[in-house]
Formats: sequence, structure tokens, C-alpha cells
Amino acid sequence: MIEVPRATLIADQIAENAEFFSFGTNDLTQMTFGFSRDDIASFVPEYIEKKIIEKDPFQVLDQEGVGQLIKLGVEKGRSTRSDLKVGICGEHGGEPSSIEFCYRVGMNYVSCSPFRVPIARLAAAQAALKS
Amino acid sequence: MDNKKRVYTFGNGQAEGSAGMRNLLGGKGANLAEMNLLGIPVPPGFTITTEVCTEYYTLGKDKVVELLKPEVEKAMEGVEKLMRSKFGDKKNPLLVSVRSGARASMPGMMDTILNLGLNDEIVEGLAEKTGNPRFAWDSYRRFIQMYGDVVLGLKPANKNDVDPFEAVIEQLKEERGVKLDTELTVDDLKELVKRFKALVAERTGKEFPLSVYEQLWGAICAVFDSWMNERAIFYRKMEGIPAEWGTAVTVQAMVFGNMGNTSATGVCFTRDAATGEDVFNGEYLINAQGEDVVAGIRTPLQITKQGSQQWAKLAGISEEERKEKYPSMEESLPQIYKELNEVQEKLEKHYKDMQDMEFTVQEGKLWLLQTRNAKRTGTAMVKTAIDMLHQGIIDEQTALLRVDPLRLDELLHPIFDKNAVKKAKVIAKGLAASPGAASGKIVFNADDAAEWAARGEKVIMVRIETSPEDLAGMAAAQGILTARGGMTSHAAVVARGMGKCCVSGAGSLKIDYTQKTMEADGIVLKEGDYISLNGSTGDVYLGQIPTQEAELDADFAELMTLADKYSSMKVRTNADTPHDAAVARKFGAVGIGLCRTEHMFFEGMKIKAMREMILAENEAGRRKALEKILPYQQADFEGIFEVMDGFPVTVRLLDPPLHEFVPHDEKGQKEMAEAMGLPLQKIQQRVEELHEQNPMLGHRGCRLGNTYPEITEMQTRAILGAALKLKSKGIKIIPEIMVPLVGIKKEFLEQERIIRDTAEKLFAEK
Repeated sequence: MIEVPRATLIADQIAENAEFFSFGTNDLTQMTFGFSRDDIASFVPEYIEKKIIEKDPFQVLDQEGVGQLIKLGVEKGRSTRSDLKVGICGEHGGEPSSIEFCYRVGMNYVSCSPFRVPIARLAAAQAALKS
Repeated sequence: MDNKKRVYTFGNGQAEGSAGMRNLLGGKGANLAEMNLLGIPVPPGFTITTEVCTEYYTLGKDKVVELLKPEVEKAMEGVEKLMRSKFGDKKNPLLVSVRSGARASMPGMMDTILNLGLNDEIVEGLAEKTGNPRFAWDSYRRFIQMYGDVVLGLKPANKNDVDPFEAVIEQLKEERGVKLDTELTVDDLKELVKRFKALVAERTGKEFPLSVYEQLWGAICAVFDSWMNERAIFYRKMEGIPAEWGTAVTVQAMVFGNMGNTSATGVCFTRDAATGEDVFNGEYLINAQGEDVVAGIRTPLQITKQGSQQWAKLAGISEEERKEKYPSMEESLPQIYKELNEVQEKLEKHYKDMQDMEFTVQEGKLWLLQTRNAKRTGTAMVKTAIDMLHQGIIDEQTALLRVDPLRLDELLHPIFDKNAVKKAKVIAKGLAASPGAASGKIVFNADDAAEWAARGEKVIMVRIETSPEDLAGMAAAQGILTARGGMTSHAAVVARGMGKCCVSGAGSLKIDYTQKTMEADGIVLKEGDYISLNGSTGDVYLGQIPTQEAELDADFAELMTLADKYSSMKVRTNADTPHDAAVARKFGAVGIGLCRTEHMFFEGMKIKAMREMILAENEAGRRKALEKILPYQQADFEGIFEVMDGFPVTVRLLDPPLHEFVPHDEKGQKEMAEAMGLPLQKIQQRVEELHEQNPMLGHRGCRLGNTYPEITEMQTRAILGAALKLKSKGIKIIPEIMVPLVGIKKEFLEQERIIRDTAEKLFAEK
């Protein structure tokens, strides 16, 4: 499971032994931003208000920053294991714009809570149609 | 002066813009241009571009007015020619409306001004021209009222306050001893105008503007200003619309639906925006202005005969009474109905999507004022997409792109428990404005709704009617109930847009904002009492009603099959229990991408064994405790693997820090000490030791598995033991073991070694 930023940087090494990657984007977002997910209520709403950030990165995947790490992790991982299976299992796995990103970086699957499954299926189809 | 084009004209079958110029002209402006090009009757006018809105905020008001002036005056001349009248003329006046229009439709968010171009002299001219002084003076007083509200900011002071202009009207009605607005005489209307102007002067310190161009520029600037008002910002935030888009301003010749009994105004849809059913429907009012329909002040009539009969049945009105008092447009204005029906077919065919149209009939002539893709519920999105696919209007790809994935949520949401709802008492009936089932405590305004919801209460917002100010409260509530307003009222349109349950126009309710009570069917309910709403039937119930899972229909299934046809990325689920796994399978998940194991330790006997392990002094003690957990853990996995027969299941090894498993309060610690036969102090000491400054970055994930390898061993045994057992029963299992929180290669290698060694040992044993 890839949740620590360092793991994305040495993903080629990990993929030598790991047969699949699953990006835990809740922790990855937490550690990349240095935001404690349990403590964001005190400042994230104001950050959004002041337009310092556009959206809550725990709800909508931050493609600019966290996304770069994911992309790097997928590329590096597949550089040593070309058939590496890759998925995502954070909250983002059920959010349409994040799903579209997962599709673009070449993930094999997304995983989300049961009630989000139809949403993810449709979003995955739309991602394929939009590309 | 630069050469940039800032104004685009339309009228008489011609237009400088088109539907493709949405970004520049806004949805409304682009569609008005397009309708002209399609040969649909639209009053002439012109649109000021969205780029000017941006200039307004960078260059400032004065500069923008100066830049616009020559183009606007020239465009106005064009409108004057087509309407054979003149803006500001005392004998033959042209009146205009000023409306906003962004790229994406924002219902009720931005302000509209009608009847602009009237003053004390022109009103007399209009009265003479139309031979209808009542109409002229009523238009004038409405104009001052609207302009006062929108441009000059004369609004109610707070939620429980009345509109200052409405207060003046009420006062006059009282003085005259009449009840209805229509009972006021022409002289009364003149008196109203006088009092309105006095009110404006008193509140703003300035006289009401009597120059028509001063009125026009005030209105145009007010539209730009409203782009940055609180409501607009809130809506944009909710819908993810950037502020940079800006709004266009459309100035259009007025046509009047209030010029007598051959005049009317209305709103209609090419299909049912709530259910998606392919039936033309809508509402209209004879002798009224557009705002009367949407504001929900008069209950509007149905456009089609079929719709009217359904409405009457719901309201318990006999066919004779319906025909007499509430005839459909199909019956009362058959010629216009025929024309409108042709227009709606043409528009849907042209735009290849459900249309939401506004129209006015002026003395027997039909004018279309607006068309746009209709806001609709998630259910309607799915149904129209699949129906249009079957009807050959759109292709499979378009059908898939028509449905907003997030809106599917509404179809998956629970409905009322069938048995419980049979026993529940219906206390009122309204229109099924937006489907869904909702139970909650009554609140009477948006602020309370937001406040109560913020502290975790489920609320139903009850209003006589809603306005754009109520948006935040509507978003926070489980459902919305209004006493007035039809299917196209503000509450209904916004609720459908939000996918929120709404019952509108429940006319039998008596709502008292000041007492915070509502009377229905002889029962007085107060703030905080529970009611339940069924937005699919319009029923209002007393008390709470339990809900059950929604039943998914054939259209939904077809859409999902279609989605899978076009996508290559698989969708798995996060599930920790056989129940969640089964729900996800039903929704089409093809595997589990995350099965967390930590929750499993909390159930029944397991938590005790888990705590024993945590408290053990050494490895031997931990192993003994883990030995007790193993069979339970294996049984957990068996249940999940069985449901996921044939699909992969990714199990994550224990992730959270151990302190999450021990009690932090003294009561819990005492219980634990007793259960384990240890002194309380010992327990407290261990809990203290487990405390971490930053648990999220602490002793968790594979750091646990590396410092307590026996945990990884036990979990591997449980996972693979379950797999072996089910395999022998002929169930296809595809287990995947996931090591959490890896950051260093060696910490992964170490875990891999333990897992592989344990697996080998286990396979050798079996």
C-alpha cells in the first residue's frame, strides 16, 4: 500500500517485490500536505473561503501535488514490473474528478464505499469517453 | 476607444450570436440568439457579453458605461425599430427587461428587472396607448418595487420581516378595506406609486430615477454587482463555478402577459423534470407577469389537459369544477397551446435535451422568453438519457455523459419502509416537487436549518414559500416543505437541482413564522417536532418513518451496463463485512480493493483477546492471545470471501496504533482490569505507555507488523486459512495481502518474508 510520500519516490524498488500497489490517498494527502485529517476543520474551510486552496483535498484529489506523486509512483513501479496492478482505495476512489485522474495515470481499478460503486462505474466510463 | 464588440443583437429571425457562443453571451443570451435563428418568436433585444462583467470588476463602473454607451444606444435603436416604439417616448413607449445570464444556468440566483423605461409621464402614455390604465399603473408600481429591491437594495431586514414594499401595499389595502391586490383601484395604484417613491427617497436619500437611460444603466450595473452577491457566490461554490466566468446582461423588449384575458405567462418543460417521463408539462397564469408563476403567489394552472386532470385529482377537485375554475391552457387557449406544443417539440429536437422554457402570451400572440436545458433530478437524468437513446435522439456515449455520476446517489438512497409508511398518518398533501424520502425536525427558516444541521440534527425546512436567500438552509435540510408554489416554484426547481426531497404547495398548511408553528389537519406542530416528507408522492406525515433500501429500475441497470461497455478501469469496493460486500456486489463491484481488519477486533470476544495481546509482557504472551483471535479472524474472512466468490479481495494488515484498542476512560479501564484479573494501575500504566504525540505518524501500519511480527503471522494464517477452507468447498477465492504504510524497502521485504514463510508453513500443514 502506498500512503507515505517516500514510497512513491522509491516505487521502482518496492515493485521489485510487490505484485500490486494500492494508493491510500487519505494518508498520502495527509502526509503530502502535512495536514492532519482530523484537525482540518479549524483552517481548511477558511483556506477555501480565502481561495488559498480551491477544494478540500481530502474530498477531491489534489492532482497538482498529490497527483504528481501518484503518477511518479505508477511510472516508477511499472519501470521494474511492467504488469504491476495499480489501484486506489482512499475516499477519492468514489469522487468523479479523482476517478478521471486515476484513469489518466493508467490505474487498473478504483475502490470506493459500496454506495459509491455505481457513481464510480459511471465516472470511469465518462473518463474513458472524455479521453 | 477600442474596436472590441461588446453588444450582440437579436430579433425578427436574425441574431449576431448563436448557441455556440455560450461563454461570451451566457446561456440565456446564446439561446435567445439561437431561438431567433430557428424562427421561434422571441422579443427583440441585445446581450452585453460576459467579458464586460470582468471589465466591470477591473476597469470600474464609469469606464465600462462609457465603453458600452455607443453600442447600447445603437442596439436600442434596432429594438425600437422592430417594436415600432421608442425607449423613453411619452406617447409610444418601449419597455425593456434586464436580465443576467451566466454560462451555466443559476436559477433564482441573479436578479431580473421588468418594465424598465417607465416614469410619471410615460405611464400616462402607456395607459393611453393600451387603453388600460390599470395595466399601466400596475406595471409602473411593479417596476418601482422590483427596481427598489434589486438595484436600490430595499429588501426585508431579516427572515421574519416583510418586504418593505409589501408592507406599504398591506397598509393601503387595510386603509381601503380590501383583501386582494386586484381589488385596488387605478387611483389606489397611483397612490401606491406615490408612496413607493417616498419610501425610496426616505430609505436611500435619493429620488427614484426618472430618466429611462439612468434606469437602464442602474439595472445593467446591478446585474454585474449581483455576480458578487452572497447568494451567487454560495451557489458558485456549491456548483464549482469559477468567479472569472462572469455574467452577461440581456436587455429585451417587454411583452406583457398581464394585458387581459387573452394574455398569459408560463413556464413549461418538454419532459417531466422530476421523473424524466416523456410528457410535455408546465404551468401558466392568465393575465399575469412571469414572476407571478415562479414566485408561487398565485397557484398556477396546468398547460396540458392531462396534467390538469392529474392535478385536480390530487387536489380533490371535481372535473366540472376543474373545467370551470382551473382549465388547462389546452382548453382555454387551444390555438396558442398548439403553437407552444410545436415550439417545444422543435426546441427539444434542436437541442437534443430536455428544455425548460418561459413564455408570454400578449393579446393572443405567443412569445418565447427563454429556453435552457432543464435542471432535473438524478432519476430524471437517468430516464431521459435512456429514453432519448431509445428514441434515437442521442447516441450511447452522449447518454452516458448526460448523467452526473454524483446524482446517482439519489437513486440509491433509501425510501420509506413500506409497512411503516402504511401506518403513518398523512397530515397534508402537496405537489411531488422533488423525489426522495426525508424525516426530520421542523425548522421555519434557513438560518435555523443551517444551525441545527451543523450540530447534527436532521431538519425539514418548512416555509410558506422559499426565495434565493433560503439556499443555504435548503442545502442543510433533509427536505423542504412549502405551503405555496407549484412545480416550477423556487423551492421545487432548486430542490430538484440539489437532489433534495421537496413537497411544495401544500395549501392546507397554516404556517406562523413568529410563533414558529405549523397547523396541519387540525394538529399544531411546533419547531423541533418531527415530520416526514415523501417527495415522490407529495405526502406529508406526522412523526418519523424508518427507511429501507431503494429498488433500482431497468433504466438504471441499462445505464450501468452501458457504462461498463465503455470503461476499461474496474471498480472495486472498500468493505469490511459480508453485508457491505454483498451491497457492493449488488451495485456491481468486481472485487474488494480495501478490506480493513481493525474493525474486526472490536466485536464480541475478540476485543478482550486483543487487549490481552496488547497488555502481554512478552512475545510468548502475545502469541497466546493471538492464538485466541485467530479462529474469529479466519471466520470473518470466510464470510467475506464467500460473498466475493470469483472476485479479488485485498486485505490490509492491521493498520491503526494499538492505543485505539484500549479504553481511555476510567470506567472502561476498571472493566478491563476486572475482566483480565489485573490491577487497575497496571492497565492505566500500559494505556499511558501507548499514548503517542502524533499517532498518525506513530507506531502504526507495517511498523506494528515489524515490531510485533506475530501479528502479521496470525493475520496471514487467518486470511490464507479462510482461503484454503473455502477453496475446498469449491468457492473461487483470489486473496491479496496488503502491507500498510510502507516507506522503506526493507520494512516491506521483512513483511513479505513473514507472509511468505507463514504461507509455506500453512500450506505444508494442510
